[in-house]
Amino acid sequence: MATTIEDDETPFFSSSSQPMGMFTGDISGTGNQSNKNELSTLNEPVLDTIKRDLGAVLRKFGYAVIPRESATLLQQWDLWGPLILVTILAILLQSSSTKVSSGVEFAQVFTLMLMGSIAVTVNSQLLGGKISFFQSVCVLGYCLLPLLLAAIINNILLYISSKSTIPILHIIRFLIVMAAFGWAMYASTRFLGQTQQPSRRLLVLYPIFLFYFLIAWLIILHAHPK
Amino acid sequence: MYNNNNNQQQSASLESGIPSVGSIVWAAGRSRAQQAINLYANLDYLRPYFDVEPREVFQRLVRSLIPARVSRDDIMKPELYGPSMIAFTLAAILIYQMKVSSHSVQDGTLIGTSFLVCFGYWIGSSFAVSSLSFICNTQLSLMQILSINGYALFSHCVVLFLATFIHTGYDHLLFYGLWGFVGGAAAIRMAVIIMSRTVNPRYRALLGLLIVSIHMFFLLYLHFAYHAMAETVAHALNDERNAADVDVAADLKPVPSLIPEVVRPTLLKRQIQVSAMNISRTTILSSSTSTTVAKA
Repeated sequence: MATTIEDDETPFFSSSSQPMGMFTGDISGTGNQSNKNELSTLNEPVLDTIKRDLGAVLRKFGYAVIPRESATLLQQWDLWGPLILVTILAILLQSSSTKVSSGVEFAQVFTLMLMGSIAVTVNSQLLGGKISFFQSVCVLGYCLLPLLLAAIINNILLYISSKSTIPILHIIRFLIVMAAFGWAMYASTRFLGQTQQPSRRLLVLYPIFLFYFLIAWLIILHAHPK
Repeated sequence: MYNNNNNQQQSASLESGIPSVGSIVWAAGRSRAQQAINLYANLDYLRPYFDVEPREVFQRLVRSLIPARVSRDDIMKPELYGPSMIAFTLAAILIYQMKVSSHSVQDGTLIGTSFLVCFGYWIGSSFAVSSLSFICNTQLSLMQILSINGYALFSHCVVLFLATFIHTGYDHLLFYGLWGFVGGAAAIRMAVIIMSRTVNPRYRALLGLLIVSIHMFFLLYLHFAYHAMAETVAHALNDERNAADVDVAADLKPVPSLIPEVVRPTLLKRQIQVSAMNISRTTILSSSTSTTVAKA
């Protein structure tokens, strides 16, 4: 019975292209090549490996900034981009470094990310979509990039703000974060929308909307780092 | 899977002649555990309840706030997409509320607490109502009650969302109004559905009262546990500060020579800060106890 299920559906904890490599990921973009090629990377200089991997991560950042119809983000997922983005976002959203609760505060962005991707994945699978857990973590993580940029601008604005400019800055910050939220929504829709039937797309998009909206609000609420 | 088990048993019997009881128990237990762990099987079990169209969900959301006569097919088809999304929305609103009111008090547990409260209430109260309705001989399954109860939570979302974004000062006039109208409408609708499925009139009244009271009290709890308490603390702080400033000004002008001007306000402010810390500490304590209660 279990085999029939795995035949017609995507397994929960594995990528669609390679069921075996579920914890390794395909950072190099050479997913469909043979073992021979993988072994040959043992001989190459470390610098080349790092360059190639960084190139792959940067290319995916490009996909997040300028969304195109492409299955790259879904098929060759990796967790480097999400890790980098979530870490930076958690650092930016910290209210002060000296507090006792800063550790848990740091963890809350990660918790939110975990909860969000679990909700999105389970919901999408229940609605009949074909997507695995790490694929949705990858897409959700990479599409955080616009919101991360908004958080950076937000922090700079807060840093340079004086008492007289605060009301105007509030409006500017709000507009910037909302624009970034719209961008993140658009980008993730382009990637995750493909995995679902058109009639049910709205139902899949709602948890994604909630997830990004919450992060956008966290960024806006970060106004008073006292 | 069964073939594997059979093979193992056969091999065991070939080796020792008799299949040892331990191996049989082990194989059976392992297959049971695999079935339980297999998330995919559990997902498949839930899949029929997520078979909806967006239009259907909107209709159900709107209808959940109108306590009118209920159509039969509305109850007959239980659905869990809407309720689970409503629970997520409620959790998000709660996180926002906590974030606004008690900024850095217990940040780490904010998300966990809100998710636990929302899903805990939804599932827990549904179980309670379904066991009660089983006693009262109501013809509703657990899934139907989960669906009805979940859609009734939509009123909580609406009320809390509006009450969070629109403040009316000390008197929670707006909140009480919304609580009565929106929350009441949803509670009455839920009660009407469940009562219409109960035969005995005495049980019917009992069930209806119980459902309405659970629903309304949870809304009150959500508002006052995570929002108003911190808000009153903030109000009190502001008032104390203002009063203290006024006091300082009034005290200093007539008797400037008794106490040096620099020391007095700082001392007072420190006192206020200490008292504020105490107040916030009590809020932490009470909120943590509430979470432990929720966990228990």
